Amino acid sequence: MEVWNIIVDAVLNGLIALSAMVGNNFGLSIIILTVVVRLILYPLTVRQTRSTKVMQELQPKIQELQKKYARNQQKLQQETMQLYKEAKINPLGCLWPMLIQLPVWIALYQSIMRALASTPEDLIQLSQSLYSWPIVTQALPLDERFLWLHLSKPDPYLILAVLVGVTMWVQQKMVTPPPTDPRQQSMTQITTLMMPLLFAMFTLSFPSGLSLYWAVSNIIGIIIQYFVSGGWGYLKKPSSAKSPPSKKLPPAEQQSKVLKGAYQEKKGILKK
Amino acid sequence: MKTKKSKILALVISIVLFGIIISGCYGPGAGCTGPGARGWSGFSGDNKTIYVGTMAGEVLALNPSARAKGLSFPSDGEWEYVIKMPSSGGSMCGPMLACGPGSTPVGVTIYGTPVVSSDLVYVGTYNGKVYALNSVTGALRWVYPREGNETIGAIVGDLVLHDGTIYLGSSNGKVYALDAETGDHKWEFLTGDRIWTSPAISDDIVYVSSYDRKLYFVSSKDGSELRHPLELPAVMCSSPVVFGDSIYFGTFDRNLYAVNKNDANIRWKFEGGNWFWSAPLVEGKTIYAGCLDSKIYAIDAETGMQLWQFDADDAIVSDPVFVDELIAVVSESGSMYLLNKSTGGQERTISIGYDVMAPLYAIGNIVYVHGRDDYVYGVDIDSGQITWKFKKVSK
Repeated sequence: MEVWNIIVDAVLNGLIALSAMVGNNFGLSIIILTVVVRLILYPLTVRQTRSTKVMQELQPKIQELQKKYARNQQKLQQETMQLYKEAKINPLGCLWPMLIQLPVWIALYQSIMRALASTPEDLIQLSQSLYSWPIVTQALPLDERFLWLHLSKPDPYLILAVLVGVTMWVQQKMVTPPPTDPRQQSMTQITTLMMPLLFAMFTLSFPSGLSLYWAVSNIIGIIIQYFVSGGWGYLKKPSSAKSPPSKKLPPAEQQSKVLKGAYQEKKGILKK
Repeated sequence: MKTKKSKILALVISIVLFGIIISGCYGPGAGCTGPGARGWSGFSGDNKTIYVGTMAGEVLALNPSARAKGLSFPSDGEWEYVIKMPSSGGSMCGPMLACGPGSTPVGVTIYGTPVVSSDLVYVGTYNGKVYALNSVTGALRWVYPREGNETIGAIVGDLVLHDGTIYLGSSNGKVYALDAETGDHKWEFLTGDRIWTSPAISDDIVYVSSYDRKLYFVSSKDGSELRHPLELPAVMCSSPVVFGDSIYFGTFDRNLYAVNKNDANIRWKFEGGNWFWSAPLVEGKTIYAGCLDSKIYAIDAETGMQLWQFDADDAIVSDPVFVDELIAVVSESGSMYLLNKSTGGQERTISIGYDVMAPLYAIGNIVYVHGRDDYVYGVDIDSGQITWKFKKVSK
């Protein structure tokens, strides 16, 4: 916990010092720090995005295997692992970058919450986290006004709630393939909508400084996703569950590998 | 299999995000909208009746004698006044979170210490209202602003009663002067930012500081600005104290300043390890200042040189108080120290058993403490014992 506080304090003081450097504009310092942190984590984000993309591309093949080995779970697992191996990905690999990034997000989140110190009690609590740097002590208390916002209070015009919800939905939609099974369609739609709605609701109650961080972070995520994946991904593709699986074909090279493997396996069985 | 994995992944992400939100809001020092503003009203009164504001938005008149005997409340000379507000002026609220102090339905937070005149008790609230109550019955005499929903911005500092006028600073950046008898508006003075400290008045001058890093000199008669404000290197965090020809206060740059009140020149500054949040005590040629670096400093008022320092076990948020030849100081974690004024030697330590941020108040050999558990403690300095404690249970 002590180590964690050291990390949060460092981010907090950096945020306040940055605010002083950009003319006591805390909103701008939140945006800059969010951009800087996302740039530092860019390699991890790219890796995660690519892993997720490959995983999604393999889904049709995995479904084929599931149909094929419906009664042989052991074989299904072996074949699935083989498929991952051929695609050179670890099924849990796409989670690691996200897990590594999480502490950074949490530290940033907590720093913003602490720095805003909207009540006298919060201000006293904040004093225990501050460095004795003149740039930090002279920057306090932070000017909470930014554009139309009071950063320690929720956005009264709901603009941020809409922005956070929409950007989060777009980001999720870009990476979520439309379900091939009509039975999964409603589940996928709910999952895709749940988090944006949840965060939009949080935005209605939480300080707008935090919502600003969410919105900027989402926008950067969309930009990275766009350039790494080469477009809008599944956002522009039809999401009808009636679409045949063949319309979501993976790259030809990988598909041929799977089919080749399946063919050889079938051949082996026939020989026996 | 895919669905199962997606569900697990969604569940993990949801749990982690929920954890982020919970840890961010309610973790140590997180400073979210939840338990933030609770207030820390101090005491005023005499040995027959003391007045205090609770964290549930009530003003209480307590009879120390009845409390020491454990009589039911209200007893002889006691009353309560529950302040109710339809909306919150200074605290944060939103569609999903209650306004004001947590989820308390009455929703009023009191930071300032009640002020007592011959027949009235005055209280300023964080929700931006000033109330004048009959000191004997607790009946409402007047409220400012008059309209139910109208507020003037959060009041954090104490009200000051001087020559029939109530002076106060508000989070809307204004200093107000109100007629103490009627609550009529006399004048107001606009500063550049919110005011979270108390004004100090001496020789018809109101000394008040705002978060715009300036110390203002305002006429107590008509609210006119008497001289150019003093530009400070950092925001003032403690209320100014005027003593002799100097004004003493702490700022966010961790210094305690002495400013000549006649020419507004800085006479000296004394650096601590953190903010001097509590108002300093001055007696003779010595200043006693509690600091958030967990120390109490005794400083020569003339030179700004340190005379002694005492290490407490936690930050000093509460204003200290003199008790005979001793100085009583309480740390945020609730350790009360009785120190020798001359040497800083520790005469006695008394554990309150709960966090304390409210100013101390002493009458005779009893020190009154308002804990963060909203209990009022009566501490006998001679015996070193908590002789009684009381908490008004809100209905």
